[in-house]
Amino acid sequence: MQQREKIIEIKNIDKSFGGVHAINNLSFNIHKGEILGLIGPNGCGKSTLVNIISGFYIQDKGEIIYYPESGHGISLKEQPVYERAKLGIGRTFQTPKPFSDMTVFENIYTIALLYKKSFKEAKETAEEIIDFIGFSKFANEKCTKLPIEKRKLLDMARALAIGPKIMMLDECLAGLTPGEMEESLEMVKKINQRGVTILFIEHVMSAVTKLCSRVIVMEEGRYMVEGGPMEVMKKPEVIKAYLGEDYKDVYA
Amino acid sequence: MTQVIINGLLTGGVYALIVIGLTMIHGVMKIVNFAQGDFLALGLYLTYAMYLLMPPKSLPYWLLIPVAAAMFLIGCLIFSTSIKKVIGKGDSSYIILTMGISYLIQNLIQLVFGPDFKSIAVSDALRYGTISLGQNYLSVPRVIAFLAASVFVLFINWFLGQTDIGRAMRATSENRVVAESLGIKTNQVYIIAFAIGAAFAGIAGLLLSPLFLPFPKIGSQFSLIAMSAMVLGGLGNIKGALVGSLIIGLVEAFSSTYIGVNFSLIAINFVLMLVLIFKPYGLFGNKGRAA
Amino acid sequence: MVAYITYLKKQPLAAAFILLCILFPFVTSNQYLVRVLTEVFFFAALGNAWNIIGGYGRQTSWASATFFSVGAYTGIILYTRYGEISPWISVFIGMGLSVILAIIIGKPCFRLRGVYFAIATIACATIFRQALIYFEDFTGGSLGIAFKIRKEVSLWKLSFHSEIPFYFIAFIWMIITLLIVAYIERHRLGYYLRAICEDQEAAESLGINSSVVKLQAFIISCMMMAFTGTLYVFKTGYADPNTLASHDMSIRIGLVAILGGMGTVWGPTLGALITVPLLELSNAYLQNFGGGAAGWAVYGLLIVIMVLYKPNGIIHIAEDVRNYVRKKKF
Repeated sequence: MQQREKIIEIKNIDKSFGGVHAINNLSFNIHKGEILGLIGPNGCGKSTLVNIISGFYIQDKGEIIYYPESGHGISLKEQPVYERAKLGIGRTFQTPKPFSDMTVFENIYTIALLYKKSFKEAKETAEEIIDFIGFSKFANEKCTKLPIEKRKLLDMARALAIGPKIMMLDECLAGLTPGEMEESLEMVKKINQRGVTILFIEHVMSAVTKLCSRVIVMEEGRYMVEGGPMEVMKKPEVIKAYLGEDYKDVYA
Repeated sequence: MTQVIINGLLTGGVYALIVIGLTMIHGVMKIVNFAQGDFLALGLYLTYAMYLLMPPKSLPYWLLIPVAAAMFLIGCLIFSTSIKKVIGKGDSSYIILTMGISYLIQNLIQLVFGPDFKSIAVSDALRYGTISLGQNYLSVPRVIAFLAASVFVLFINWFLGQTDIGRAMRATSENRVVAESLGIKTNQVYIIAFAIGAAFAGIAGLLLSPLFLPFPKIGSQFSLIAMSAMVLGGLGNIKGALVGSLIIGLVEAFSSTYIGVNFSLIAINFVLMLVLIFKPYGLFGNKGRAA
Repeated sequence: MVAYITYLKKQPLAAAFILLCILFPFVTSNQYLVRVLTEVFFFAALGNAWNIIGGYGRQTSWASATFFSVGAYTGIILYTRYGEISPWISVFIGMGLSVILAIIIGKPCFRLRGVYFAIATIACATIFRQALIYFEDFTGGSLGIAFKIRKEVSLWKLSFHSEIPFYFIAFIWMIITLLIVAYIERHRLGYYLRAICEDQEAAESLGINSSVVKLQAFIISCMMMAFTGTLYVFKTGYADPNTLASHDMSIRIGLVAILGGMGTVWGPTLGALITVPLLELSNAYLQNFGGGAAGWAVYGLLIVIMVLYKPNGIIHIAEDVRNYVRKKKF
């Protein structure tokens, strides 16, 4: 196993809401440039973790250390959400959140304005991203008219405008047809090829197998096991966590 | 000093009635009714109008049922024509709508009754009557108002806890979608909650009628007091609303006695600002994500 | 400059309106109408200022009267008590004070949900009005302050014999406020505000600091209101807390923008054009039916109807008409 460079170090994270212990002593690393899968049964804490990293929640215990450049690490605790985005941490949401009353172009342009000095540069960036994502034909349509798979892609496109070092995709395939899933997977691959590390939270196992070099499994807020996707999914404890005791031989 | 405390608590008790209405409406349909104070004003003016038909110097309290019923109906009317269309449509819609309704009510009152102060001609025995308690005295209308308000508070507690409709209201305020899927007719729940809120405000108006000289814009003052108490206690929290109104009553009493009558409004709003700055979810509110 | 001319060519209604306004005082001898239109311009300017935070930002502020009267009182106090300081100077002091006040009110409140902001603005406006009444040695209390009758004609001191100069001053200021709003709409602040309105969480997750953006919009809005207040007080000649700093005034200012069209450039102007004459007419002709109150009641009713059926304001009726006409042509 080569020692790869870390981009995020998750150390002993603990988070509770009232009586519910959502995350329990969770530790693992995310390596620069990888597509890391994060899987586990519903309610095991995956979305909570994404919320903690992006700043919507603050951890009760533990540290999250972010390495945007080599060597120099930033401990994430007090920074508000927008500051973390400025540092290069991007994310999407389970239900897409477009700026509905604006056009596709305006959605991306607005964010590009934040990160570019001149209007011209922002416009060029927005146009480049629209091209990259394949939205050129309806760049001037209002988002209210977009079907769900395009909205999910728009979320990713918008997050690209921040110039992210890492993008956390929270169930970006939920609700899509198999054909649409293929397209989205292609897009995720292309984004990764631009140099963006991906944290890929998903339930669709075939997608995880195709995309991820490494997978982390969570259960009830805890780290369970990690490894390559195929080997992890054959492990009995993982199968049991998803399907219960009786199910054997999921992958015939 | 005890006198000031007594006055404050008595007034606060009556404010509780209008605040509870506001809290119920917010709890059930997530709308802060900026016209709540004007519902109180309507109660005041209805009392004034109906009082003119009664034999002179009688007690205004006989009008409780007609005023409450009228306000309940007015609440239903206002809800079904306008409020129900803005539920769930975001903050600015209902803020503008209820402010528009407040403005409309204030000016309708001025159209019908004129801009001057009115006075409900109750007997002096009632208006200035006092009961002495050692070195302090209790103003009779305030005591009556406080007791009546307490009865209604107990009633609403029972209503929400023990009746089917009350439980339906609590369920809807927790989670509308789940409540609907359980078969609760949320539209009925909404209209009843709003109408009760209006009726309570109207009753508060009636109870305060011997104490205040109503003028058309008096509603704005009470709206602000009610909202201050609600924010203090935590939006949507009935227990908090009660404590909030008592505190506001005390703030008002202390500031008018020790600083000056004009200052009480400043003091109440200052307390409100402090709460918003330091404890925006109120004393009993739930912490969620900020904003 | 070229951009504005092309705009006027594309929008004939706007061009016609501006032309009419410029010609109006020269074709009519009715000074009363000139005065009414001046009032329209002032309220349009106030509505435009409100629109920045209330329309584009969807953070309804009910403290407009506070900032309006900061400008007014600064102007009149500096003139009457400190040696007739020109309004063109005190305007800047008024704006400076309004910035400070806007930060004090805005910083804590923009961290919270919209309705808290609305409540907080009402509270602050009440405190300010009561303070104006309480500190009567400085502000003249409930009675306010008034100019002694001024006989000179002076642009520096904004004192004239006829209605016309103030007409044009108000008109020019209204146009400036329109330009400010149009600029914001097309540049960064406008985009960020719209994004925050649409989905604040998403906006934050992408790097937009919503509290700062809202505060910026609020500060600009309040500065514009203070400026308008200073001009206004020199026209009317007196300042008193129960008209200038009242809750009523705050509502009127907000409703001008709301009725006309929140979040649009011309909305508040349209709103002012409808509501100011409405109030004047009902004051003049409906004396037996409650005078001003009748007008305001109609105004309130219009608001309620509008929120329910055309929540984006009357200006969109103009759009609907235009679309209908276009469809009919083909």
